[in-house]
Amino acid sequence: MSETTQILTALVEDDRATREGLSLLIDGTPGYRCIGSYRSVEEALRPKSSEQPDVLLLDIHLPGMLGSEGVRVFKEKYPGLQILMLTIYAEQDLVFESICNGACGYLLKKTPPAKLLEAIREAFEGGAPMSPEIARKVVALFQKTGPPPKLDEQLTPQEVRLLKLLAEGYSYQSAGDQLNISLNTVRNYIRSIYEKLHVHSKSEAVSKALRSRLIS
Amino acid sequence: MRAGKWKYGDSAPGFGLLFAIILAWSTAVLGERLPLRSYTSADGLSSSAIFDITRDPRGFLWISSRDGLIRFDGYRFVTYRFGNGDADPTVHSLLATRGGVYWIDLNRGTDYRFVPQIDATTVAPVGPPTTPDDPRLPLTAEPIIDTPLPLFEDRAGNLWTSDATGLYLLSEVDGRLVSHHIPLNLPENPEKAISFVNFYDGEDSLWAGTNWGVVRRLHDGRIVHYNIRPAGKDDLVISLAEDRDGRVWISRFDGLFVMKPEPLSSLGGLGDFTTRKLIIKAGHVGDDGRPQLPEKADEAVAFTSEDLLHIDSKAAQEKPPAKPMIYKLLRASDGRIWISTSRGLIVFDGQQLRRYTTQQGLNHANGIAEDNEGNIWIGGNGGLMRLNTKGLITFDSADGLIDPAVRNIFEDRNGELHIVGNGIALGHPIISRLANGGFVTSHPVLPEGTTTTWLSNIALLDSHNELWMATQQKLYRYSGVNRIEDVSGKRPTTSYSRRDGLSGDAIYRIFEDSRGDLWISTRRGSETDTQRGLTRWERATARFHAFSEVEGFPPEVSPSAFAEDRSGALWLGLSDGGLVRYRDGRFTRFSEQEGVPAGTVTDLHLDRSGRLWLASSRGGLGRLDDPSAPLPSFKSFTIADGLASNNIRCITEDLFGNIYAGTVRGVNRLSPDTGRVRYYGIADGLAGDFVTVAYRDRQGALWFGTYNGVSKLVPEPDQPSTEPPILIGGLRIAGVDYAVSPLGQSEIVGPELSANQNDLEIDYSSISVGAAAALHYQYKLEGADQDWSAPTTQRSISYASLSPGAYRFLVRAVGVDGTTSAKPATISFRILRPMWQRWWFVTIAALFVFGAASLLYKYRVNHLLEVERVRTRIATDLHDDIGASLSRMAILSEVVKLQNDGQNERSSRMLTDISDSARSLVDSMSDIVWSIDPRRDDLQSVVRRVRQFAADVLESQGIKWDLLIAADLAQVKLQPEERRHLFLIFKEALTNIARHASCTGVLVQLTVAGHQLRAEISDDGKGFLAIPRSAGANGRGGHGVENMRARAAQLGGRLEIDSTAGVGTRLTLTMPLAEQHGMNMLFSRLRK
Repeated sequence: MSETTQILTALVEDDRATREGLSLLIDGTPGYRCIGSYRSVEEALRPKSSEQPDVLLLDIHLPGMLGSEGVRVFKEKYPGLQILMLTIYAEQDLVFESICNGACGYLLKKTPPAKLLEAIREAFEGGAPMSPEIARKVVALFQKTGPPPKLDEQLTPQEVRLLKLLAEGYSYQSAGDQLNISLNTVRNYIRSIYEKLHVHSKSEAVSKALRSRLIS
Repeated sequence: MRAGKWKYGDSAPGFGLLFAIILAWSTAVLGERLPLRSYTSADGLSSSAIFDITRDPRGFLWISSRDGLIRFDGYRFVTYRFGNGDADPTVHSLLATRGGVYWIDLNRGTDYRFVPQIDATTVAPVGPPTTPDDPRLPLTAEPIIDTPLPLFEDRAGNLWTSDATGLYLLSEVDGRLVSHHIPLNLPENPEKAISFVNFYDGEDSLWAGTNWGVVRRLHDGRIVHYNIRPAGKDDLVISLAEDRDGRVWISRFDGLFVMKPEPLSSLGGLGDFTTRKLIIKAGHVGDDGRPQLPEKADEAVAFTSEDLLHIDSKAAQEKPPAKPMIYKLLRASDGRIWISTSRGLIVFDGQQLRRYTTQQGLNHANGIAEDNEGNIWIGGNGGLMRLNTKGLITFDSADGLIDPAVRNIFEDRNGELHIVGNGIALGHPIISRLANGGFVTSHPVLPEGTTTTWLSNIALLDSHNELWMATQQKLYRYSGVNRIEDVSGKRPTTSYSRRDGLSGDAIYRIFEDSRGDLWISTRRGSETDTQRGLTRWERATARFHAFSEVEGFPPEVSPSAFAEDRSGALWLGLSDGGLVRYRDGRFTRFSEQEGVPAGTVTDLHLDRSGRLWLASSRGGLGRLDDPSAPLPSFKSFTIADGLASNNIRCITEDLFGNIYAGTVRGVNRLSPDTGRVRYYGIADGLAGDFVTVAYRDRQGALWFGTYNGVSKLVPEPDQPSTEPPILIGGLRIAGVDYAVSPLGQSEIVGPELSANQNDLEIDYSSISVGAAAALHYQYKLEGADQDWSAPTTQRSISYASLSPGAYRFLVRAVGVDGTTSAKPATISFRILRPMWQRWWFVTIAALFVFGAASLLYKYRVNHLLEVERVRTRIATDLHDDIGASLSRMAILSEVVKLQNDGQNERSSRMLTDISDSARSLVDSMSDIVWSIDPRRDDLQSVVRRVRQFAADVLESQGIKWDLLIAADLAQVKLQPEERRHLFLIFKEALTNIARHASCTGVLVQLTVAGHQLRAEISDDGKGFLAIPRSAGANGRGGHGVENMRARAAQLGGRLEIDSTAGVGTRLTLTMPLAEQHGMNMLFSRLRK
């Protein structure tokens, strides 16, 4: 992974100390630059900088518009923006909703700085982290709402197999071992799954399913 | 009102006088005490004014009385009421037809017909009594309004009635009786006093008594009229009967006619109506009781009531004129004619008239009937009485028996019966001869101070007319005694003592053997020097020989009983118990050890089969079947075999081979063939309980001497026993009477009863009006009992608190010889389950309960879920708040460390510790939130988390790992605590491995077997012991293992660590799994 490119990062976090701490951490790391830190989605939509961030760290619980909802707004405004949700723990329902709305992953706030930065880089490079919880919910979502009408929006059997392994807690590595595919292929699969999820998420069926908490 | 019957309140002559006055009785009247039983209100008899007694075909006795109709089944009197309670209750008579219909002739008012529903099977509850104070039962009978009342049923079953104009034959047409007039062509009756009494004779002629004379209707319809008529307008023909010689007896109030009708064969030339003028002679009854009887067909004999009852008419004239009245005639099953009178009964046995009068305890006899055992029942102004014609007749001091304590009974060569008493009151023994119902007593003159010993037979008249007398002082002998009166006032011819060769002076018992020799036993008397022993007096030589041990006679014994067997051997019973046999000049003694019944041998008897019977005072009866056998072998009969006592005093035998044992508690008859035992006691006419001596006279009559007199029994052969009937007489369910047929029912199909009607009281009984002994009953309740009950004399049974179910009650009567009822009487009934036990109720209740329970459960579950949600929310909120702060701490310390820029290493390390601790705390919080999340209640979520954690910690170290599972994870449900402990054990173990094991591979295996979970975590690292003790997980220094063990203990399981340095470590956790309750399943399903 090349570190020559500086990753422009923005941050939406309502807790001042965390916001400033994270901002300092990002800025203090070579190859990363925090070009804006905001207290809310609304504030972030009126950016202080004219620069466009590559990666947005978006807290889920925000005053005003929730981060999970804000994802959709940001993605519409900046389709190329990679959004990582910030959360205290992974099991929150809103994490999955955020991902459906277009987030490419999530970060636990307690994550050590090294890992945090690695995750930002990964997101920047198009990678997508998928926790067992998310994997399980993706499978469930596609089962509950039925296959999307277009064939290329449907999950391939290999993708479903991967999701199921991930849902059982297998890491990318061990899941790849199980499926006899490389880690890169796993990542490609995941990315593909996310895309299909995002497309599919725009359908009425999924919105309804999410609204009615069918997927939990 | 119909003529022809004599009713209470009619102006019948003399009827108003209720009690006859005892007049002077002829000496010819026997003074015997009769086996009578009187029934009074104490027995439940509701009336003492009885007009008629009828025995119906079923065996019931029906009593027509002033106070109503009374039924008797041998146990209980039941009084019936007709119509409303105010009507005149008097019932004049009852006709019970063979068809089972009862025609009830009420004195005044409406007559009734009663058809008992004896074969009905259903019953209904009886309503509340209309007149609660009336103990009589209402009889649902049908009033007879338009049709005549039948008075007589002929042999063919035709019903007849009569009125002033003649006879009527009744026939049933369409359920109604239609009468057909039979003209008798009688002259007009100026007095309008008419009576008709019907009966059928042996030649199929119907006889009717009228006030013009007796009418005979031949079977072809021709009428013969005899000039036998009552004395005047106050007299009536009451009853007719035919004796076994074909004579017709006609009773009227004032007397009796006896005529001998012509045989039908001599009536050939007669026309439709013929009048026969008979020569009527005045009858006379001889002193011997023989009445003058008609000898030819053209004569009749008329007796007055005074003649019949042997009343001195002159004496009667002087006293208040209580004229004796003749009432009804009864031909008994044995052919005897019984005549009821106002002074008791007269019976004609074909030869003689015998009178049983008020002097012998009889009452005024009006109605008369015979029961199935041949007992004669009489009813009149004094109530009801039963004369046991097969019972004993007793003679006691009232009959002139001066000493009623009977010691011996013997006959002289003329067959005259003698009773020996010891005459304690007189000071000398006496001998009474039975003569003409009284006793002639002879007083032998013995020296002053003569005494006799207890159990001595005192006097014996031998085969050569010599009277021997045994006293405690001497043996006396009267020679040439032709009549016993010859000894009265006389001294004995001779006296004997020890000096004459007797074994002693106190004479005990005397016995004459078949050769005419006398055997005399002696005992210790009042004189000290008298000896026990046995002496034989040889008639041929007139010499005494006292036996001694030379002949083998035991010393110091007194024979108390003697018998001679067919081989000529003499058997002697001893007063001290045991038996001695004298054969071929030698004595052999047998004792209790050899099977001789215990106690004094009181009597010995050789029966007609040659068997020897022994009576003992303690061991009952003994029977020696083969007296010739070298060793006697006795079969014993005791209380266990049905004897009244084991103290037997005497034995005799009737001409049919039955053995009679006189005991201290009456007489037992033992039928050796059947083993059946019959009892005779005081109620059967026995003079007293203690039977001292038994004797059979040459006519075959048995005599039993007691301390209270002597009783005579004329044995009759046993009738084959019949199966006793059995009927249900009453049924009460939960205290409510059910309308069982008044005569009882043999089968009842009971109603369906509700669960609280589960107590039943059932009355049942046989009809045993004449039964000699009480019948026994056995019952069983099918549905509850397996077998018949033990025989009981109870005639009622209660069942309480029966459980729901179908039942059938059966009862049967058991006769004295074990014959049971042909068919048991039954009641079938069913007790329904209580409403709360029936299926529909149960279903509804179950649904209701289920509904309520699920509501409650849902509420409870919701409540629990709510609690859980609150708990989860609190934990989450805490986590959010604390987690956010901790995350912030971690970030800030990292920032500080970054700004510190490695200048102060110590500070940097401390900042790293702060951020690590903060993160570790976030993890812990996360673990808690995870573990209490109800959606993660199974082992699968644990495994997921373990996998995730393992991947985190191991893959970052480059350690290969695998997780093998042999279990259906989703099926294993875990409690939040269990999940947490289990996960934390894995976490601790994996953390330890990642940090300290220096391994390349880790294998986690999870198996579930039964209710046991087994987890194995093995690595190929350097071994557990190599791990420094201070280096525990989470910086808690060595407590990691203790922690894991503590958690394992919390799970109720065990943690084992197997570690070899350089090879690896295997950590094994075993823990029990809770059973998966339906509740848990439901619970976990509900909260999803």
